[in-house]
Amino acid sequence: MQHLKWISSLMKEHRWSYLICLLVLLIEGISSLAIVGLQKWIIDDVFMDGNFDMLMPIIMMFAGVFLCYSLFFILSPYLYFKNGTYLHYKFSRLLMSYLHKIPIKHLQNERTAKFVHYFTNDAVNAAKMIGTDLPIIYQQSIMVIVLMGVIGFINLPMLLFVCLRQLMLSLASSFLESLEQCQERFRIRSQT
Amino acid sequence: MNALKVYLWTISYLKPYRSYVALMVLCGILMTSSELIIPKLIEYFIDTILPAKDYSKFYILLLIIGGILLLLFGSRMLSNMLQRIIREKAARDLQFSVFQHLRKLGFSYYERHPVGETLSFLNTEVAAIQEIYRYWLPFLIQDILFVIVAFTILFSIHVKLTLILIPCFLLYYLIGPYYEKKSSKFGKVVTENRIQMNKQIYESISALPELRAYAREGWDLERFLAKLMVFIKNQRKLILYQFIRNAIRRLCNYCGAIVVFLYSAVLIQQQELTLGAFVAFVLLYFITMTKLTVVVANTIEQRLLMFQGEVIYKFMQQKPDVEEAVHPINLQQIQGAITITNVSFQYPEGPQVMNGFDVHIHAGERIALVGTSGNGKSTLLKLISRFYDPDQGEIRLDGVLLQNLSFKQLHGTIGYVFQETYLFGTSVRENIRFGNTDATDEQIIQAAKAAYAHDFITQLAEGYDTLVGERGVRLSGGQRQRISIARLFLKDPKIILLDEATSALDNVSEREVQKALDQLLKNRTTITVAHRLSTIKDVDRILVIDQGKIVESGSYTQLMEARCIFYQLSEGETMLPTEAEGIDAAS
Repeated sequence: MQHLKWISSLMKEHRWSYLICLLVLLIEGISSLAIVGLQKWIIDDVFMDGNFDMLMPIIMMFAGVFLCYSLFFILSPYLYFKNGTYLHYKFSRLLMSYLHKIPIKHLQNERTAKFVHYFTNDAVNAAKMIGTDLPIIYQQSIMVIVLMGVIGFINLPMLLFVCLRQLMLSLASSFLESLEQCQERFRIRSQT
Repeated sequence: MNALKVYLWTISYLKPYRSYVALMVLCGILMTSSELIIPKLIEYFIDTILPAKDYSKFYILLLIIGGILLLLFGSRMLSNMLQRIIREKAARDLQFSVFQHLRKLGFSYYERHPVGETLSFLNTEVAAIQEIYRYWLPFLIQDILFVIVAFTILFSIHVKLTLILIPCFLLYYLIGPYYEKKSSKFGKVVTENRIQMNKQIYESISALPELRAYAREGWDLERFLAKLMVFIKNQRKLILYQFIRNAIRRLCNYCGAIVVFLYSAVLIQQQELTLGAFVAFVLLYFITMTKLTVVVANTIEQRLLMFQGEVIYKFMQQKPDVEEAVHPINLQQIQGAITITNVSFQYPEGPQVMNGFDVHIHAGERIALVGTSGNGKSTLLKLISRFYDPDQGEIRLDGVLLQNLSFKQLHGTIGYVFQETYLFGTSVRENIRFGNTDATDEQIIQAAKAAYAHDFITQLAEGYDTLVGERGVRLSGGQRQRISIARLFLKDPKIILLDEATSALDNVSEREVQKALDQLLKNRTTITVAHRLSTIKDVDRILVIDQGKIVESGSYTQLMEARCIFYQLSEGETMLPTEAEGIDAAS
């Protein structure tokens, strides 16, 4: 919780940019879903039912959605990347200012490589996680909810099946992950 | 630089694992076939099973799909496992050879390149190449296979419909290359910016005590942030161009989809295409075009990574200034006599430092080199240690040319005490053991006693197990020097080179270190570069060097009596190099 508070205080200056980024991601996600929806419409209503007079209006809509999606496909990564780099800049600045202040004794107790790692890896990864990964998780989550709604509306048992399958996959992957961690711990222990 | 050459070099690290790669390709073929057969089964379902409502065929179809999914799952699992093995092993080999090469390049490389630069490519550039083994190459192989098989199936569904896609795909190549070039340009710039930034980070952190002492934190922060900002700005541009390029590619795909829908409507109305074939075609079209664009994107990404690969490639192509003879000589026993004949030397892009230097040093003789800064004293020590080879002339050890001696024997014969001793951030014990990694704890204590270091070590909080901090910052200069002398007692070299070993010490520390040195230097050939004449009174011979040549030589008493250059130097000690001048790399 403390971390979140700290991060949100850092993002305060950029909150509008962050919010706009979330909005743009939402539009990008919706337009990507709309492409799938329009495909279903073309196949079911035009080709299967033989309503070929509907083809041109749907194609026009299709073109519009494609255009919109392509536009937002450029805008959204640019925005979330901008937020990420803004945070990278801020983290690096804070880190360096902090290093300029900490007691020399503390500096001497640590290795230079450790501090270098903070800048070249930790600051970059943390900024990427908050600036880029979190907005994408938000976009994907909303898309999952919408898709679940659509599937549930069309066929409830199918939704249950999809959820069950996903649950099994998650359980299996977390089991395999814990196995992998055990193996890694064993490997480290056997080396030392 | 030819990107293909760099790429081929990069993937040459996969050679030892070609059987794994072949198996991974096989898995890729299985996965591709499994994925691509499904749209064809859907076509069969729509065109044959659905109109006839044939449930028995439907169940068989479900079973087939189940079997295919199992095959897909199994081959994907195996492929992931192989990918991981290949990635880890190839990346390990690459890192190992980079590190080995770094050691082979030796002293001259470290003098010419900042540590931050080397750290940057060990950290970032090697990691970027690992991405090729881990992700880009395996997926490129899989996706190319996919596209080939998919196009075959698309042609089998409808030739004209497939052909109509080609102009749509080629449309991309009218606009795309502009953005490809822009991406490539910024990819290269970002790589260079990253190296500069990492260098700055390393420098800023290493200089923290100095920055504090001079109250220059603000100045350093500004310098760092300026480099970071340049890196970020160019990185943003790179991302923008990359996504514009990707968006154009997608737009071209969608244009193709519109053409497919329109032309399919005509074909279905003319009964040239069945509904099932249309659905299968659309499914395949989207997957194939995505994969096709992924192949293009993958190639571009790898091309961008090659800018980072190029840094390592260039590094690996660097020839060491000094190389070991193909069949090096290993002498039975080293006496320690050094003969230097007509040696001239110039640093790359530097002034002539040695100029026809001649001297013979007897085994066990103690020599001191004296002269003003920049006259070649430290350079002579580097030449004797073979950190560099002379441009002209020769240096012999016990009558054997240094170039013919094995590195192991030469470096085992020479012990170096620098002005600043590097201590590892570990315990005192391990730092002394560095002199001889096979030494027992008892030998370490004996060496410390001989170096007059035992008393202060036992007074430390944890004695020999006390951690000395980064570069030994928790110890005083004199203590660090005595640890380095203890190392030499363990190493037991025949020749000792002292490069202003006590110049950075105060008078008390200097006395302590001098006591330790007196013990160490007994019966060993010694060459001392000194700035305090008081430290060289007892040497056998003093060589006064000027402009890379010996201008005067003799014992301390002889030179003082001669009242020439040495006498003048001793009268005005200020003429001798100061501490700051003493570490002049070119001296």
